[in-house]
Amino acid sequence: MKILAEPIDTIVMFKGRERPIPYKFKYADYNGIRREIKIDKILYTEESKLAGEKAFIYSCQSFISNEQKRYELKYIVGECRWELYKM
Amino acid sequence: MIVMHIDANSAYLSWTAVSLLEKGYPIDIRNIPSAIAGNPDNRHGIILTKSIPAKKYGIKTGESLLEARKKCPELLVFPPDYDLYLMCSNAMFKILFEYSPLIQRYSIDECFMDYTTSQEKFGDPVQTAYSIKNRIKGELGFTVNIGVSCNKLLAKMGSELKKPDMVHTLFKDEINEKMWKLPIEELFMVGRATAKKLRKININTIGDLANADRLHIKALLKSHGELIWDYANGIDYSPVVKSDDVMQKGVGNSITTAYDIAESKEAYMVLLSLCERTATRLRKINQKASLVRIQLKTNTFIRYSHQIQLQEFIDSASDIYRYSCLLFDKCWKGEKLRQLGVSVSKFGKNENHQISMFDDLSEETERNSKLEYVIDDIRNKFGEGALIRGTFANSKVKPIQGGVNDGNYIMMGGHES
Repeated sequence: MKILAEPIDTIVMFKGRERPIPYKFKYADYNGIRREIKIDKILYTEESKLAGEKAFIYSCQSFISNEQKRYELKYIVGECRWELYKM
Repeated sequence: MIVMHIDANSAYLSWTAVSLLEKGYPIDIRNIPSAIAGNPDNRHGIILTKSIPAKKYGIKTGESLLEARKKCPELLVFPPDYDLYLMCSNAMFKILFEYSPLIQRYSIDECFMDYTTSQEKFGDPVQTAYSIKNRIKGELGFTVNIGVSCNKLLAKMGSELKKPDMVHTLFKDEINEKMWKLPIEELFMVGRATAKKLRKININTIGDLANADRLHIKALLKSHGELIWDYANGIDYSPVVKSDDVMQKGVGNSITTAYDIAESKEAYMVLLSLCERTATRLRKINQKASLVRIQLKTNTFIRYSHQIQLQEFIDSASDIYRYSCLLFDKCWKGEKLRQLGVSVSKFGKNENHQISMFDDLSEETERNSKLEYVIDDIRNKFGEGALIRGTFANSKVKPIQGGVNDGNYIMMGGHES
């Protein structure tokens, strides 16, 4: 997987005391076409503090163009924003 | 006593590197010739930090960007990001606070940690040092050097032995083999001038100094000689004190202007903006000062300064500005100026002091000093630009100048404790 760090539009569920759970997101692919991707499964989440920036990393998988793909989403806590971190 | 000195390796550069990598930058700038430097358009183009490959080209911290580019044309240069540095530094200290409550933040990238009482809980200091080093590397993404010893001086000397990403011990019995063979310049508090004097009397290594006669060194360098002789022998009794408890002796700010200043009117404006910053910082530490000093640097890089000792203690920007202008008129010879600075010191309280016949004791003075505190509150709440002096409206000079990040930033390289 390669680091992309692309900002994305995300629909997220905030559930009680739990970490926010991403449901689906939109991003622009290589051809500039905006795609909507539903997150099928969150494999694991971890906290990152790289460069002092608190963030949650979500390792997820989805069907994209009829192919099962793994990727990582990142929620940057200080900026309240989501990124397509790695794909 | 067990003291650790923790020092981030080429701090600004590695913090920038980690942040860039996180943003998808294809290469790790720590592994190629690269540097962090200010903007040359504002005449701030000096090298702040360089990578280890850049060091091999002979690039030095503090030299101009132009000189550095001549030595290495393919040098990659990045601007400093002080918000990021503060964030990285805070994250590092947060990890360290898990190991000991007694930490002295010496500068943005280094600190002393008193491990004496933590030993019972965390065990062997060297092993803990390794785990701290590895945790910072794993969690925060940058490397540190840790020196472990019995006092602050030896811990600091230890952490600087070999870089990067290392743990060194430098206890009293190791001084002989690890520290004494180093050149004299490597010793803490020995600068260029002192080294020159010592080399003249054939003291070339730290060992030479340690074995020299203390009285002889005192005769040559006065009390500073005694200090460095003690340091060379690994003697340092200063305790690790929390950064808040360190007595501050002066406050000052300076600025290198984007263009040369040739008129006194313009210089006054810059002085006023510096006074605003200095006075705000002075009030923040709850002090009043009785000595005002200005420093000037001309476009030919000649520096001079002027100072005035006051009978009273002041803390308002208007008062400091009034004296700064007075000093400026007295010492400025009309040449073009490149850098201006204002600083205040000799702190004290204004509770009981001798009233002078010439003091302005009207109610207005008192009201003005209260006003400045109100201005501080408004600026704290709504941001620095919320309230500015009318003089600065529509002018090129920024209303408050000097320092980085609202003047709260702790600079790199350590400050005197």
